[in-house]
Amino acid sequence: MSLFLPELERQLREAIRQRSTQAAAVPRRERPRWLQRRAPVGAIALRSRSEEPNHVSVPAVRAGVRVTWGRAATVLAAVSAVMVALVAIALLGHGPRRGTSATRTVGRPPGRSLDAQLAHGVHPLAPAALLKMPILGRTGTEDLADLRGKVVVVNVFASWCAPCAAEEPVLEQTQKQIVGRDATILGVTYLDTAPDAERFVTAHRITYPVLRDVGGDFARAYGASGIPETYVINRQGQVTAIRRYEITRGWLANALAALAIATPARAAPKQRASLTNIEPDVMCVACHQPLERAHTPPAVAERRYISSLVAKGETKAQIENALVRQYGPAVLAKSRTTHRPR
Amino acid sequence: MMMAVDRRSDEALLARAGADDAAFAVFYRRYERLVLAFFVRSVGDGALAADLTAEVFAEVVVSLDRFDAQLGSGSGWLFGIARNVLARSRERGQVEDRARRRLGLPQLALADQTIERIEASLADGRALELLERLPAAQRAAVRARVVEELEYEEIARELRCSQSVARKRVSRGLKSLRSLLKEDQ
Repeated sequence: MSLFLPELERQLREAIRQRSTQAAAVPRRERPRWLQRRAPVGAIALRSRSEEPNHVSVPAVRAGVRVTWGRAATVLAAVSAVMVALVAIALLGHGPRRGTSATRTVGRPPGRSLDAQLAHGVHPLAPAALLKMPILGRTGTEDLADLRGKVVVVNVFASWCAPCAAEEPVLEQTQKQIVGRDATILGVTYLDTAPDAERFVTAHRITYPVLRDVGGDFARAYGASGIPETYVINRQGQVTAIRRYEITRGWLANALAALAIATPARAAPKQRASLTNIEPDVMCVACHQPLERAHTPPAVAERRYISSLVAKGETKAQIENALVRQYGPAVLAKSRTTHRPR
Repeated sequence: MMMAVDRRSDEALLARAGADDAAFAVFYRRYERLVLAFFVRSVGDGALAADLTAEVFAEVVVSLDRFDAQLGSGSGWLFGIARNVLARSRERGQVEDRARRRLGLPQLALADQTIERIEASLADGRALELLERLPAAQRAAVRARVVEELEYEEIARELRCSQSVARKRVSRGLKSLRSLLKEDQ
Protein backbone atom coordinates (compact mmCIF):
# COMPACT_ATOMS: atom_id res chain seq x y z
CA MET A 1 0.00 0.00 0.00
CA SER A 2 1.59 3.28 -1.07
CA LEU A 3 1.61 6.37 1.08
CA PHE A 4 -0.27 9.53 0.19
CA LEU A 5 2.36 11.80 1.71
CA PRO A 6 5.73 10.01 1.52
CA GLU A 7 7.54 13.35 1.66
CA LEU A 8 5.96 14.06 5.05
CA GLU A 9 7.14 10.71 6.36
CA ARG A 10 10.66 11.48 5.15
CA GLN A 11 10.67 14.95 6.75
CA LEU A 12 9.41 13.63 10.08
CA ARG A 13 11.93 10.78 10.17
CA GLU A 14 14.68 13.29 9.47
CA ALA A 15 13.39 15.50 12.30
CA ILE A 16 13.43 12.55 14.71
CA ARG A 17 16.98 11.66 13.72
CA GLN A 18 18.08 15.25 14.31
CA ARG A 19 16.36 15.45 17.69
CA SER A 20 17.82 12.16 18.89
CA THR A 21 21.30 13.26 17.77
CA GLN A 22 20.89 16.54 19.65
CA ALA A 23 19.57 14.69 22.69
CA ALA A 24 22.59 12.41 22.72
CA ALA A 25 24.93 15.39 22.49
CA VAL A 26 23.46 17.23 25.51
CA PRO A 27 24.06 15.86 29.04
CA ARG A 28 20.78 14.55 30.43
CA ARG A 29 20.42 16.94 33.37
CA GLU A 30 20.96 19.92 31.10
CA ARG A 31 18.50 18.87 28.43
CA PRO A 32 15.62 21.21 27.71
CA ARG A 33 12.23 19.65 28.32
CA TRP A 34 11.56 18.89 24.69
CA LEU A 35 14.68 16.76 24.53
CA GLN A 36 13.83 14.68 27.55
CA ARG A 37 12.58 11.19 26.86
CA ARG A 38 10.54 9.26 29.31
CA ALA A 39 11.77 5.86 30.35
CA PRO A 40 10.78 3.06 28.01
CA VAL A 41 7.68 1.06 28.82
CA GLY A 42 8.57 -1.84 31.04
CA ALA A 43 11.27 0.01 32.93
CA ILE A 44 10.84 1.45 36.37
CA ALA A 45 7.96 3.58 37.61
CA LEU A 46 6.05 4.55 34.59
CA ARG A 47 2.70 4.86 36.26
CA SER A 48 0.85 8.00 36.96
CA ARG A 49 0.51 8.44 40.69
CA SER A 50 -3.21 8.56 40.14
CA GLU A 51 -3.37 4.95 41.22
CA GLU A 52 -1.46 5.36 44.45
CA PRO A 53 -1.35 8.95 45.55
CA ASN A 54 0.08 10.21 48.81
CA HIS A 55 2.30 7.24 48.65
CA VAL A 56 5.53 6.91 46.84
CA SER A 57 6.36 3.32 46.43
CA VAL A 58 9.07 1.37 44.71
CA PRO A 59 7.30 0.20 41.59
CA ALA A 60 10.25 -1.83 40.36
CA VAL A 61 10.05 -4.08 43.39
CA ARG A 62 6.28 -4.27 43.38
CA ALA A 63 6.17 -5.10 39.69
CA GLY A 64 8.67 -7.88 40.21
CA VAL A 65 11.35 -6.17 38.13
CA ARG A 66 14.83 -7.17 39.12
CA VAL A 67 16.48 -4.22 40.79
CA THR A 68 20.01 -3.56 39.66
CA TRP A 69 22.30 -1.22 41.61
CA GLY A 70 21.67 1.51 39.06
CA ARG A 71 17.93 1.11 39.39
CA ALA A 72 18.18 0.82 43.15
CA ALA A 73 20.05 4.11 43.21
CA THR A 74 17.32 5.73 41.10
CA VAL A 75 14.63 4.37 43.36
CA LEU A 76 16.46 5.47 46.51
CA ALA A 77 16.89 8.93 45.01
CA ALA A 78 13.17 9.09 44.27
CA VAL A 79 12.27 7.95 47.78
CA SER A 80 14.68 10.48 49.27
CA ALA A 81 13.22 13.24 47.12
CA VAL A 82 9.75 12.42 48.30
CA MET A 83 10.83 12.24 51.95
CA VAL A 84 12.32 15.71 51.53
CA ALA A 85 9.09 16.75 49.84
CA LEU A 86 6.95 15.47 52.69
CA VAL A 87 9.10 17.26 55.26
CA ALA A 88 8.94 20.42 53.16
CA ILE A 89 5.16 20.16 52.94
CA ALA A 90 4.90 19.68 56.69
CA LEU A 91 7.12 22.70 57.33
CA LEU A 92 5.29 24.85 54.83
CA GLY A 93 1.91 24.14 56.34
CA HIS A 94 0.41 21.92 53.66
CA GLY A 95 0.38 23.47 50.30
CA PRO A 96 0.88 26.72 48.55
CA ARG A 97 0.33 29.94 50.43
CA ARG A 98 0.34 33.55 49.59
CA GLY A 99 3.77 35.03 49.47
CA THR A 100 5.42 31.78 48.45
CA SER A 101 6.53 30.97 44.97
CA ALA A 102 3.65 29.98 42.78
CA THR A 103 5.70 27.50 40.84
CA ARG A 104 7.83 25.98 43.54
CA THR A 105 7.85 22.23 43.26
CA VAL A 106 8.59 19.54 45.76
CA GLY A 107 11.61 17.39 45.09
CA ARG A 108 11.52 18.51 41.51
CA PRO A 109 14.62 17.40 39.65
CA PRO A 110 16.00 20.17 37.44
CA GLY A 111 14.23 20.56 34.13
CA ARG A 112 11.71 17.78 34.71
CA SER A 113 8.19 18.18 33.32
CA LEU A 114 5.16 17.55 35.50
CA ASP A 115 4.50 14.35 33.58
CA ALA A 116 8.04 13.08 34.13
CA GLN A 117 7.83 13.82 37.85
CA LEU A 118 4.53 12.00 38.19
CA ALA A 119 5.96 9.10 36.22
CA HIS A 120 8.76 8.94 38.77
CA GLY A 121 6.44 9.03 41.74
CA VAL A 122 7.01 12.67 42.65
CA HIS A 123 3.95 14.83 43.29
CA PRO A 124 4.96 18.39 42.48
CA LEU A 125 3.17 21.33 44.03
CA ALA A 126 0.53 22.65 41.68
CA PRO A 127 2.06 25.30 39.40
CA ALA A 128 0.44 28.73 39.16
CA ALA A 129 -1.41 28.19 42.44
CA LEU A 130 -1.27 31.92 43.14
CA LEU A 131 -2.21 33.05 39.67
CA LYS A 132 -5.33 35.16 40.06
CA MET A 133 -7.90 34.48 37.35
CA PRO A 134 -11.24 36.21 36.75
CA ILE A 135 -14.29 34.22 37.87
CA LEU A 136 -16.62 33.45 34.98
CA GLY A 137 -20.08 34.92 35.39
CA ARG A 138 -19.34 37.37 38.18
CA THR A 139 -16.81 39.93 39.26
CA GLY A 140 -13.73 39.05 41.26
CA THR A 141 -10.76 36.79 40.92
CA GLU A 142 -9.72 33.53 42.48
CA ASP A 143 -6.70 31.26 42.47
CA LEU A 144 -5.98 27.66 43.31
CA ALA A 145 -4.65 28.59 46.72
CA ASP A 146 -8.16 29.77 47.64
CA LEU A 147 -9.22 26.12 47.44
CA ARG A 148 -6.47 24.95 49.78
CA GLY A 149 -7.52 21.91 51.79
CA LYS A 150 -9.80 20.59 49.06
CA VAL A 151 -9.18 18.00 46.40
CA VAL A 152 -9.42 19.97 43.15
CA VAL A 153 -9.89 18.53 39.68
CA VAL A 154 -8.80 21.28 37.32
CA ASN A 155 -10.27 20.94 33.85
CA VAL A 156 -8.88 23.23 31.18
CA PHE A 157 -11.41 23.67 28.39
CA ALA A 158 -12.77 26.05 25.77
CA SER A 159 -16.18 26.55 24.28
CA TRP A 160 -14.83 25.89 20.78
CA CYS A 161 -13.34 22.52 21.72
CA ALA A 162 -15.46 19.50 20.74
CA PRO A 163 -13.69 16.95 22.99
CA CYS A 164 -14.21 19.38 25.90
CA ALA A 165 -17.95 19.30 25.29
CA ALA A 166 -17.86 15.52 25.07
CA GLU A 167 -16.33 15.11 28.52
CA GLU A 168 -18.54 17.67 30.28
CA PRO A 169 -21.26 15.22 31.39
CA VAL A 170 -18.65 13.15 33.23
CA LEU A 171 -17.27 16.22 34.97
CA GLU A 172 -20.66 17.59 35.96
CA GLN A 173 -21.87 14.25 37.25
CA THR A 174 -18.66 13.83 39.24
CA GLN A 175 -19.06 17.31 40.69
CA LYS A 176 -22.48 16.40 42.04
CA GLN A 177 -20.96 13.35 43.69
CA ILE A 178 -17.95 15.02 45.29
CA VAL A 179 -19.10 18.54 46.07
CA GLY A 180 -20.02 17.85 49.69
CA ARG A 181 -16.82 16.00 50.41
CA ASP A 182 -14.18 18.71 50.38
CA ALA A 183 -13.58 18.22 46.71
CA THR A 184 -14.56 20.12 43.59
CA ILE A 185 -14.11 20.32 39.88
CA LEU A 186 -12.64 23.66 38.81
CA GLY A 187 -13.13 24.65 35.19
CA VAL A 188 -10.51 26.88 33.62
CA THR A 189 -11.34 28.33 30.22
CA TYR A 190 -8.46 28.54 27.80
CA LEU A 191 -8.20 31.51 25.45
CA ASP A 192 -11.95 31.88 25.33
CA THR A 193 -14.22 34.88 25.36
CA ALA A 194 -16.43 35.33 28.43
CA PRO A 195 -19.74 35.28 26.49
CA ASP A 196 -18.79 32.08 24.63
CA ALA A 197 -17.63 30.43 27.83
CA GLU A 198 -20.84 31.48 29.61
CA ARG A 199 -22.95 30.03 26.80
CA PHE A 200 -20.98 26.79 27.09
CA VAL A 201 -21.51 26.69 30.87
CA THR A 202 -25.24 27.29 30.46
CA ALA A 203 -25.62 24.77 27.65
CA HIS A 204 -23.89 22.05 29.66
CA ARG A 205 -25.54 23.04 32.97
CA ILE A 206 -22.17 23.31 34.66
CA THR A 207 -22.48 23.92 38.39
CA TYR A 208 -18.81 23.92 39.39
CA PRO A 209 -16.77 27.13 39.55
CA VAL A 210 -15.10 28.31 36.37
CA LEU A 211 -12.14 30.67 36.11
CA ARG A 212 -10.83 32.35 32.96
CA ASP A 213 -7.24 31.79 31.89
CA VAL A 214 -7.32 34.87 29.74
CA GLY A 215 -3.72 34.91 28.51
CA GLY A 216 -3.10 31.17 28.65
CA ASP A 217 -0.53 31.55 31.49
CA PHE A 218 -2.19 28.95 33.69
CA ALA A 219 -2.28 26.30 30.95
CA ARG A 220 1.31 27.10 30.00
CA ALA A 221 2.46 26.61 33.61
CA TYR A 222 1.18 23.03 33.38
CA GLY A 223 2.88 22.45 30.04
CA ALA A 224 -0.44 22.14 28.23
CA SER A 225 -0.05 21.36 24.56
CA GLY A 226 -3.74 21.17 23.75
CA ILE A 227 -7.11 20.96 25.38
CA PRO A 228 -8.90 19.46 27.13
CA GLU A 229 -6.44 18.75 29.90
CA THR A 230 -7.24 17.71 33.45
CA TYR A 231 -5.09 17.91 36.57
CA VAL A 232 -5.96 16.31 39.90
CA ILE A 233 -4.62 18.19 42.91
CA ASN A 234 -4.70 16.72 46.41
CA ARG A 235 -5.47 18.48 49.68
CA GLN A 236 -1.81 19.37 50.11
CA GLY A 237 -1.81 21.24 46.82
CA GLN A 238 0.19 18.61 44.95
CA VAL A 239 -0.54 17.38 41.46
CA THR A 240 -1.30 13.65 41.63
CA ALA A 241 -2.57 12.89 38.15
CA ILE A 242 -2.61 14.52 34.74
CA ARG A 243 -4.64 13.75 31.67
CA ARG A 244 -3.40 15.42 28.50
CA TYR A 245 -6.50 14.65 26.50
CA GLU A 246 -10.17 13.80 26.99
CA ILE A 247 -10.90 12.14 30.31
CA THR A 248 -12.86 8.97 30.81
CA ARG A 249 -15.18 8.23 33.72
CA GLY A 250 -12.87 5.42 34.80
CA TRP A 251 -9.75 7.55 34.81
CA LEU A 252 -11.37 10.28 36.90
CA ALA A 253 -12.92 7.78 39.30
CA ASN A 254 -9.53 6.10 39.79
CA ALA A 255 -7.74 9.39 40.29
CA LEU A 256 -10.28 10.48 42.92
CA ALA A 257 -10.53 7.08 44.57
CA ALA A 258 -6.80 7.21 45.04
CA LEU A 259 -7.37 10.36 47.11
CA ALA A 260 -10.06 8.60 49.15
CA ILE A 261 -12.87 10.28 47.20
CA ALA A 262 -14.97 7.40 45.98
CA THR A 263 -17.48 8.04 43.23
CA PRO A 264 -20.29 5.77 42.14
CA ALA A 265 -18.38 5.31 38.89
CA ARG A 266 -16.54 2.58 40.77
CA ALA A 267 -19.74 1.13 42.17
CA ALA A 268 -22.03 -1.21 40.30
CA PRO A 269 -23.56 0.35 37.19
CA LYS A 270 -27.06 1.72 37.56
CA GLN A 271 -29.74 -0.77 36.56
CA ARG A 272 -31.35 0.17 33.29
CA ALA A 273 -35.09 0.74 33.58
CA SER A 274 -37.43 -1.44 31.57
CA LEU A 275 -41.15 -2.04 31.41
CA THR A 276 -40.61 -5.52 32.87
CA ASN A 277 -38.84 -4.35 36.00
CA ILE A 278 -41.25 -1.45 36.58
CA GLU A 279 -44.57 -3.26 36.05
CA PRO A 280 -44.54 -5.23 39.33
CA ASP A 281 -44.30 -1.97 41.30
CA VAL A 282 -47.09 -0.19 39.46
CA MET A 283 -50.86 -0.60 39.79
CA CYS A 284 -53.55 -0.24 37.18
CA VAL A 285 -55.45 2.91 38.17
CA ALA A 286 -58.73 1.41 36.89
CA CYS A 287 -58.80 -2.15 38.26
CA HIS A 288 -56.26 -1.64 41.09
CA GLN A 289 -54.40 -4.79 40.12
CA PRO A 290 -50.64 -4.88 39.61
CA LEU A 291 -49.96 -3.62 36.12
CA GLU A 292 -48.32 -6.87 35.07
CA ARG A 293 -51.68 -8.62 35.51
CA ALA A 294 -54.00 -5.84 34.37
CA HIS A 295 -55.57 -5.74 30.90
CA THR A 296 -57.86 -2.70 31.05
CA PRO A 297 -57.49 0.16 28.52
CA PRO A 298 -56.01 2.45 31.23
CA ALA A 299 -53.43 -0.28 32.00
CA VAL A 300 -52.49 -0.34 28.31
CA ALA A 301 -52.16 3.45 28.38
CA GLU A 302 -49.98 3.25 31.50
CA ARG A 303 -47.71 0.68 29.84
CA ARG A 304 -47.42 2.89 26.77
CA TYR A 305 -46.53 5.87 28.96
CA ILE A 306 -43.89 3.85 30.84
CA SER A 307 -42.39 2.58 27.57
CA SER A 308 -42.09 6.13 26.25
CA LEU A 309 -40.18 7.17 29.39
CA VAL A 310 -37.92 4.10 29.18
CA ALA A 311 -37.16 5.04 25.59
CA LYS A 312 -36.09 8.49 26.78
CA GLY A 313 -33.50 6.82 29.01
CA GLU A 314 -35.12 7.78 32.31
CA THR A 315 -34.32 5.79 35.44
CA LYS A 316 -36.80 3.70 37.37
CA ALA A 317 -37.06 6.35 40.09
CA GLN A 318 -37.68 9.10 37.52
CA ILE A 319 -40.36 7.03 35.84
CA GLU A 320 -42.10 6.30 39.14
CA ASN A 321 -42.08 10.01 39.97
CA ALA A 322 -43.57 10.78 36.58
CA LEU A 323 -46.30 8.16 37.11
CA VAL A 324 -47.18 9.70 40.47
CA ARG A 325 -47.42 13.13 38.85
CA GLN A 326 -49.60 11.72 36.08
CA TYR A 327 -51.89 9.36 38.02
CA GLY A 328 -51.43 10.18 41.70
CA PRO A 329 -49.66 8.25 44.49
CA ALA A 330 -52.02 5.26 44.28
CA VAL A 331 -50.38 4.23 41.03
CA LEU A 332 -47.42 2.83 42.92
CA ALA A 333 -47.82 -0.60 44.50
CA LYS A 334 -45.44 0.31 47.29
CA SER A 335 -47.42 3.42 48.15
CA ARG A 336 -50.49 1.21 48.69
CA THR A 337 -48.43 -1.10 50.83
CA THR A 338 -47.13 1.79 52.85
CA HIS A 339 -50.56 3.16 53.52
CA ARG A 340 -52.27 -0.14 54.03
CA PRO A 341 -53.74 -0.21 57.55
CA ARG A 342 -52.18 -2.83 59.78
CA MET B 1 8.24 -7.93 -2.85
CA MET B 2 5.97 -8.40 0.10
CA MET B 3 6.76 -6.07 2.98
CA ALA B 4 7.22 -7.76 6.35
CA VAL B 5 4.39 -7.02 8.75
CA ASP B 6 5.50 -5.23 11.89
CA ARG B 7 3.69 -6.84 14.80
CA ARG B 8 4.59 -4.26 17.40
CA SER B 9 1.67 -2.49 19.06
CA ASP B 10 1.06 1.22 18.49
CA GLU B 11 2.09 1.86 22.07
CA ALA B 12 5.38 0.00 21.67
CA LEU B 13 6.09 1.92 18.47
CA LEU B 14 5.39 5.29 20.13
CA ALA B 15 7.61 4.36 23.07
CA ARG B 16 10.47 3.72 20.63
CA ALA B 17 9.71 6.45 18.11
CA GLY B 18 11.66 9.26 19.75
CA ALA B 19 14.92 7.40 19.33
CA ASP B 20 14.06 5.24 16.37
CA ASP B 21 12.67 6.91 13.26
CA ALA B 22 11.94 3.49 11.72
CA ALA B 23 9.50 2.76 14.58
CA PHE B 24 7.84 6.11 13.91
CA ALA B 25 7.63 5.28 10.20
CA VAL B 26 5.70 2.08 10.99
CA PHE B 27 3.26 4.06 13.14
CA TYR B 28 2.96 6.74 10.46
CA ARG B 29 2.22 4.17 7.75
CA ARG B 30 -0.43 2.57 9.91
CA TYR B 31 -2.31 5.80 10.47
CA GLU B 32 -1.59 8.18 7.59
CA ARG B 33 -4.66 7.05 5.67
CA LEU B 34 -6.93 7.09 8.71
CA VAL B 35 -5.91 10.58 9.78
CA LEU B 36 -6.24 11.88 6.23
CA ALA B 37 -9.68 10.28 6.01
CA PHE B 38 -10.70 11.89 9.28
CA PHE B 39 -9.76 15.31 7.94
CA VAL B 40 -11.20 14.78 4.45
CA ARG B 41 -14.51 14.08 6.08
CA SER B 42 -14.17 17.00 8.49
CA VAL B 43 -13.09 19.70 6.04
CA GLY B 44 -13.99 18.18 2.64
CA ASP B 45 -10.80 19.33 0.97
CA GLY B 46 -7.80 17.14 0.13
CA ALA B 47 -5.15 19.88 0.33
CA LEU B 48 -6.43 21.14 3.67
CA ALA B 49 -6.64 17.57 4.96
CA ALA B 50 -3.01 16.95 3.98
CA ASP B 51 -1.94 20.17 5.71
CA LEU B 52 -3.77 19.23 8.91
CA THR B 53 -2.38 15.70 8.77
CA ALA B 54 1.16 17.05 8.50
CA GLU B 55 0.59 19.17 11.62
CA VAL B 56 -0.88 16.22 13.53
CA PHE B 57 2.09 13.94 12.90
CA ALA B 58 4.50 16.79 13.65
CA GLU B 59 2.65 17.28 16.96
CA VAL B 60 3.03 13.54 17.59
CA VAL B 61 6.80 13.85 17.15
CA VAL B 62 6.96 16.93 19.40
CA SER B 63 4.81 15.30 22.10
CA LEU B 64 6.23 11.78 22.12
CA ASP B 65 7.53 12.22 25.65
CA ARG B 66 4.00 12.93 26.85
CA PHE B 67 2.49 9.71 25.59
CA ASP B 68 1.76 7.24 28.36
CA ALA B 69 0.54 3.86 27.15
CA GLN B 70 -1.04 3.17 30.53
CA LEU B 71 -3.38 6.12 30.16
CA GLY B 72 -4.81 5.19 26.80
CA SER B 73 -4.21 3.66 23.40
CA GLY B 74 -1.86 5.08 20.80
CA SER B 75 -4.67 5.52 18.29
CA GLY B 76 -6.84 7.33 20.86
CA TRP B 77 -3.98 9.67 21.63
CA LEU B 78 -3.34 10.30 17.93
CA PHE B 79 -6.97 11.13 17.21
CA GLY B 80 -7.12 13.30 20.32
CA ILE B 81 -4.30 15.35 18.80
CA ALA B 82 -6.12 15.38 15.46
CA ARG B 83 -9.31 16.72 17.06
CA ASN B 84 -7.35 19.40 18.90
CA VAL B 85 -5.47 20.48 15.79
CA LEU B 86 -8.76 20.69 13.91
CA ALA B 87 -10.46 22.67 16.69
CA ARG B 88 -7.58 25.13 17.03
CA SER B 89 -7.29 25.56 13.29
CA ARG B 90 -11.02 26.28 13.03
CA GLU B 91 -10.76 28.75 15.88
CA ARG B 92 -7.93 30.62 14.21
CA GLY B 93 -9.27 30.37 10.70
CA GLN B 94 -6.05 28.84 9.41
CA VAL B 95 -4.25 25.55 9.69
CA GLU B 96 -2.05 25.48 12.73
CA ASP B 97 1.67 24.99 12.03
CA ARG B 98 3.16 25.38 15.50
CA ALA B 99 4.58 21.84 15.71
CA ARG B 100 5.98 21.97 12.18
CA ARG B 101 7.69 25.29 12.91
CA ARG B 102 9.10 23.81 16.08
CA LEU B 103 10.56 20.92 14.11
CA GLY B 104 11.70 23.24 11.33
CA LEU B 105 9.79 21.30 8.68
CA PRO B 106 9.57 22.90 5.25
CA GLN B 107 6.21 23.53 3.57
CA LEU B 108 4.79 20.31 2.16
CA ALA B 109 4.62 20.49 -1.65
CA LEU B 110 1.48 18.79 -2.92
CA ALA B 111 0.93 17.84 -6.55
CA ASP B 112 -2.60 18.14 -7.91
CA GLN B 113 -2.64 14.40 -8.53
CA THR B 114 -1.87 13.74 -4.86
CA ILE B 115 -4.76 15.95 -3.76
CA GLU B 116 -7.11 14.28 -6.23
CA ARG B 117 -5.96 10.86 -5.05
CA ILE B 118 -6.57 11.79 -1.42
CA GLU B 119 -10.06 13.05 -2.15
CA ALA B 120 -10.96 10.12 -4.42
CA SER B 121 -9.56 7.40 -2.17
CA LEU B 122 -10.81 8.74 1.10
CA ALA B 123 -14.31 9.78 0.16
CA ASP B 124 -15.46 6.93 2.39
CA GLY B 125 -13.61 8.55 5.28
CA ARG B 126 -16.47 8.03 7.69
CA ALA B 127 -16.07 4.27 7.44
CA LEU B 128 -12.41 4.58 8.35
CA GLU B 129 -13.26 6.85 11.24
CA LEU B 130 -15.88 4.42 12.50
CA LEU B 131 -13.28 1.69 12.36
CA GLU B 132 -11.93 3.11 15.60
CA ARG B 133 -15.16 2.20 17.35
CA LEU B 134 -14.83 -1.53 16.66
CA PRO B 135 -13.52 -3.95 19.29
CA ALA B 136 -9.72 -4.21 19.15
CA ALA B 137 -9.59 -7.68 17.55
CA GLN B 138 -12.07 -6.79 14.79
CA ARG B 139 -10.45 -3.40 14.23
CA ALA B 140 -7.02 -4.96 13.72
CA ALA B 141 -8.43 -7.55 11.33
CA VAL B 142 -10.44 -5.05 9.25
CA ARG B 143 -7.56 -2.61 9.15
CA ALA B 144 -5.16 -5.32 7.99
CA ARG B 145 -7.54 -6.54 5.29
CA VAL B 146 -9.18 -3.37 4.02
CA VAL B 147 -6.71 -0.60 4.76
CA GLU B 148 -3.40 -2.43 4.50
CA GLU B 149 -4.76 -4.86 1.89
CA LEU B 150 -3.03 -7.91 3.37
CA GLU B 151 -3.81 -11.51 2.45
CA TYR B 152 -5.61 -13.61 5.07
CA GLU B 153 -2.48 -15.70 5.51
CA GLU B 154 -0.52 -12.60 6.53
CA ILE B 155 -3.36 -11.32 8.72
CA ALA B 156 -3.51 -14.64 10.53
CA ARG B 157 0.24 -14.49 11.13
CA GLU B 158 0.06 -10.90 12.33
CA LEU B 159 -2.88 -11.50 14.65
CA ARG B 160 -1.59 -14.92 15.71
CA CYS B 161 -4.77 -16.73 14.88
CA SER B 162 -5.98 -19.16 12.28
CA GLN B 163 -7.04 -17.96 8.84
CA SER B 164 -10.64 -18.89 9.52
CA VAL B 165 -10.65 -16.81 12.71
CA ALA B 166 -9.11 -13.90 10.79
CA ARG B 167 -11.82 -14.21 8.14
CA LYS B 168 -14.51 -14.30 10.80
CA ARG B 169 -13.13 -11.19 12.51
CA VAL B 170 -12.99 -9.30 9.23
CA SER B 171 -16.52 -10.37 8.39
CA ARG B 172 -17.91 -9.42 11.80
CA GLY B 173 -15.98 -6.17 11.78
CA LEU B 174 -17.39 -5.18 8.40
CA LYS B 175 -20.87 -6.10 9.54
CA SER B 176 -20.47 -3.91 12.63
CA LEU B 177 -19.13 -1.11 10.44
CA ARG B 178 -22.20 -1.28 8.23
CA SER B 179 -24.46 -1.02 11.27
CA LEU B 180 -22.47 1.93 12.59
CA LEU B 181 -22.72 3.64 9.23
CA LYS B 182 -26.48 3.11 9.20
CA GLU B 183 -26.78 4.55 12.71
CA ASP B 184 -24.70 7.47 11.62
CA GLN B 185 -26.91 8.38 8.67
